[in-house]
Amino acid sequence: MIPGLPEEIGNECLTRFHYSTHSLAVQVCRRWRELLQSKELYYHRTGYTQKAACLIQSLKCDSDPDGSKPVGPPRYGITAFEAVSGTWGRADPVPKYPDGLPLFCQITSCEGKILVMGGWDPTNYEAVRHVFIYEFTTQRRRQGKQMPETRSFFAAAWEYDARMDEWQELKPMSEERDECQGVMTGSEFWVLSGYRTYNQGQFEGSTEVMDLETGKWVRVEEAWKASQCPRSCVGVGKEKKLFSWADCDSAIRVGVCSTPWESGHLCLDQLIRVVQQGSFWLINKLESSTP
Amino acid sequence: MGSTSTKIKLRTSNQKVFKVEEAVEVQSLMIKYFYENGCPSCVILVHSVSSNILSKILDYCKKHVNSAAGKEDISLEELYEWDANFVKVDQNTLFDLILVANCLKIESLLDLTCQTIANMIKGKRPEEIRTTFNIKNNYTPEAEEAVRREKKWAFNMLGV
Repeated sequence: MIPGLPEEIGNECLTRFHYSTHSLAVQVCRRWRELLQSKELYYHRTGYTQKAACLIQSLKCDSDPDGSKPVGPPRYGITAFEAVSGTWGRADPVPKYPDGLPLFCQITSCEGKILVMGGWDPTNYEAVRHVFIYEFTTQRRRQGKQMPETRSFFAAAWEYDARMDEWQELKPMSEERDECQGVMTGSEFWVLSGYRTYNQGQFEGSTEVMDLETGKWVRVEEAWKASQCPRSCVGVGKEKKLFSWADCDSAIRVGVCSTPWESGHLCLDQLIRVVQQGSFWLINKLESSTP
Repeated sequence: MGSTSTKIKLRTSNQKVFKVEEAVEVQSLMIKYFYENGCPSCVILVHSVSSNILSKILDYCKKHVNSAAGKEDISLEELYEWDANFVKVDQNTLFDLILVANCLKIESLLDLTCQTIANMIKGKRPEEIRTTFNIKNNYTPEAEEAVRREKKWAFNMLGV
């Protein structure tokens, strides 16, 4: 792999390449490309993996001549934040949406991939079913199988297998839930709050929980403080107690979003904090406004 | 496990023999292994290690053993900084450090040095990477062009 170093040491070095350098490193020689694009690399480097929190954030858009307020629709893109180095990266736009991702699209991750799905077309505001998959190992982007139905606020549950590229409908919940929030806790999938479409914005206190082994839903009342939107601000505390980040510290402002991070949570509003065992660590100022 | 109790020595390819100091014993899984397996007076062969490299390795082990044992008042950040300065060496020295760290199984030093190699490619073009590591380009011109044209979804690091 690297002349002058034993094979296994060369591999060790390549597994430590920063993901932003992969696209150039694969051009060096055939063997580097084979290793850098292999699945083995992803599993081998567990332990030295660079962890990055990926977010959908609004991009800078044109401002009024006096710079006071933005004009034109907001544009969204994917950014990655590395807490260790405190650096930000931004992904190139998807060719299908060169001027920004669909509005309200959802982002999630599994096995070194990030998935961006659904949302509204930024030009005509129609709900779309696209799934874009970005693989960190190969630095390749592909379009996954479309979602079976348009879902702008995910009112019903589907399961997507990124490896097999297949969608499967889960059993229906007891009611539709617009703008609900899905949370995984161990072997359970929680769908929090939301509202029936005709109840626009009246968030429910109830939650549905699916046991992933049996595929059965159980309805839990009063699991979420009613009339508060659960999007992105759900935290899972001890004994699976759910809470809202926006409530737990006055320092966390509105529009917070959070993502599991190491043994705690990465919490973002205008500032970035890592929340661990109830204490907050201020890491960095957010580089642009929150989604 | 004191240096008086073990008699593990390192012998280099040019037949020089070095006594192993206590700090190295603590950091080296290889020496630990020899010691724990009832072989307290072995001679380990290390290829082409110079006394200069060995004293650097000793510096590293001492620093880390002392800071871990609380004998030296040094914060984690200061230790990172010390590490960063430690690997500011020419490429041949870096390779020698890797080889010895690998041979003696000094895990944290191996990690540090491999990461240093990995960081060396940052900001370099493929041709510059090949020159740095003396790597032969075995792509055909057509294949190289194809790899270059592959659709990539790159992350551009901001402010780096």
